[in-house]
Amino acid sequence: MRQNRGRLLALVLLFMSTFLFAVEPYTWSLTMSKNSVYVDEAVEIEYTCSFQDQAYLHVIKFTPEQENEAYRLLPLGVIEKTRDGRRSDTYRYVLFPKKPGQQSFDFHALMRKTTKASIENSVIGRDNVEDYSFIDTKVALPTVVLDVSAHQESLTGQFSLNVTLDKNEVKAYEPVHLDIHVQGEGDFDQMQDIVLVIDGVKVFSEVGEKHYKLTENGFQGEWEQKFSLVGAKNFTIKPIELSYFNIVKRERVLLRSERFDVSVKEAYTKEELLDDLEDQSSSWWSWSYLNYLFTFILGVVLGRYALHFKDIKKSPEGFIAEIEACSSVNTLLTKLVLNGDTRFSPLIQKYDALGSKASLKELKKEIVSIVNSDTITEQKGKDV
Amino acid sequence: MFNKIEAIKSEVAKVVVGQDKMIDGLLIGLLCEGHILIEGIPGLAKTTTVNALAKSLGLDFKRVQFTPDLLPSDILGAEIYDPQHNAFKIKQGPVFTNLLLADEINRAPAKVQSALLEVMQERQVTIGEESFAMDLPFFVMATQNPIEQEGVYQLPEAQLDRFMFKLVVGYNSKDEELEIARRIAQGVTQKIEAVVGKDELTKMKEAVKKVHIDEEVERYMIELVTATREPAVYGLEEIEEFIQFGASPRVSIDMFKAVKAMAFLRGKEFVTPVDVAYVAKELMRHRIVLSYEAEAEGITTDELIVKILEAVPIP
Repeated sequence: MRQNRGRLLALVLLFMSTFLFAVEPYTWSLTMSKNSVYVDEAVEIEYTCSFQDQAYLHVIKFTPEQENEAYRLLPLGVIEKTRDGRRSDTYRYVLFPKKPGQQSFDFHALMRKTTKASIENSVIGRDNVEDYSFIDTKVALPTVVLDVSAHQESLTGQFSLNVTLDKNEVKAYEPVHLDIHVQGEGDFDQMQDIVLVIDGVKVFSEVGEKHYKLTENGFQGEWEQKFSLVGAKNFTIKPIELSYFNIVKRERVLLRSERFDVSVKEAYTKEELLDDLEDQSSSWWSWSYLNYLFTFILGVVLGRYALHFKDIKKSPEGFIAEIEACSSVNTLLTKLVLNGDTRFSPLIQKYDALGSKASLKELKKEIVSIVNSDTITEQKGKDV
Repeated sequence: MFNKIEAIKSEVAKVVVGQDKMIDGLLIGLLCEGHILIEGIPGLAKTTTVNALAKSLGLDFKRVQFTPDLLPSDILGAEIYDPQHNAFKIKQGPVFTNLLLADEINRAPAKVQSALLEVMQERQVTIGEESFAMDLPFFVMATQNPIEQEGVYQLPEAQLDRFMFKLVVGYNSKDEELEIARRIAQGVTQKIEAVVGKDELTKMKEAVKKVHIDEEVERYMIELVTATREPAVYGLEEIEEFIQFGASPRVSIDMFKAVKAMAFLRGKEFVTPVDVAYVAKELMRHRIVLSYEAEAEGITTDELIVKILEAVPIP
């Protein structure tokens, strides 16, 4: 009997130890800002994974589907903190349910666990290990359950409308500017541009500008659309309306601006439609032309007197004068050599060989006769 | 001896029409043992002239086309392993010749240019642990194309200075071009005979050395070189800002040799200032470094040399 009791105790201990070791070192919890909402109303949900320790071997991969036919899920942020040696990761999201009724949404996270040895191998680069090895466990997170009520509006939230017109009286073809401004919080990203149609009025419309940020209550900010309206006769801008489902009043709300009557005075003449430009027909003279003239003169003066460009290139016209100015045979022969004209070669050869017996006068006479007989051909590129 | 010069010229003229000054320049380089840099656009018979000159002299001639991927060993030679004898043997490069044509020298990178220019200066090549003296005469003619700037390696000033002459080759005259076209159209090719041997070339070099230079002309040449460094002293203040560096002493050395060779080519036994004028541009145009101002205003070294020749008093 005693033996049997001992066996039973061993079995109980074995069962308990198995149970104890099988317990995961983390728990997932869910916090929701509200349980009952309307379609497209924002709900903040927070998933928190609390570990028993610092859990440096664990990596959480939580990438839930962001949009499907049942909901839109937008991330608000992730907070990872360690308090009293225990790590907890919080994933904050804003959920917009799309369908009415009792809705439940299931999400999963991938819990990845590595080992000290894997980290060591990877850091040291042992056996060409480039990354940690993980053991992955897919974990089902607590289900989000929402009681979603229906409504018929395309917008949900809490908004205010402000419509302004810059003037009520204009001349024909003079534009008036209409500014539609919506402020508040809700599903701003669903806001559609307004199409304005007024008989006999040309409507120039800008694309609606959205300036908002995601908060736990949805999108918060403003939306603005601007119009320019040009007409030839009096016209009326009907009240601008914006209907939405107000989540505070829990009813449909219709925002409505005032009606704008625009009085259009007599039409401009054709010339008056143009901007205030100078008369082109009399543009043959302008005092501004003097600027160009002075700039040109200044450039010439600077170039001529201030910059002092040195022209060391010779003018060919001066060749005869240079010949006449030479005072010795050698100087003259040198000049002929530098000239490079092959017709002077026999002369150079002849007078150079004569040495001191050479007559400068005779040489000049022969050169002039050659020059006058024909134009000196340029010997470009033969200057070896 | 002057007849031999005429014979060389007439042999070269069998395949080259005109370009007399380039031929004179090459002959001066050959007689003075100076290397020549020839600059000209493609199609001006630079290579043909050098080839013809080599054949008429009966000298060994080799041509190397410089390319961006050329290596120094492609020119100088290298040690290669001989598996039959289980030893390294030396394979001499094309530089081992009398006349070397370095075609488009500025297409090869600086290390190749440097390797060649070392041979030009020392006339000796060291491969592995063995040094080889060049077979004389050793004469390098390098060509470069001035119109292309991309993909070329400009020769630095220190290396340009090692070339005795820089010949700028221009277009032929209309008559010469007509003659060239006719010759090619008729398909007439004449064989160039070797009219001068190594011994006769040596004798010509000796004759050139004996050409007399008067002291006045010697001083005149030094004045010219000095004027490139201090133009203001010679009343050339207007060109002083255009010259960054004047001609080096190597110009004076080369000028003394070149004017003698020029007088010899012209059949004279003495040098006159005219000979100096004939060679001044070729000697100095690549050795004067222009300033930024000169380049901005499009002034060339040739124009500055003319100004200097006109300003320095001629004896």
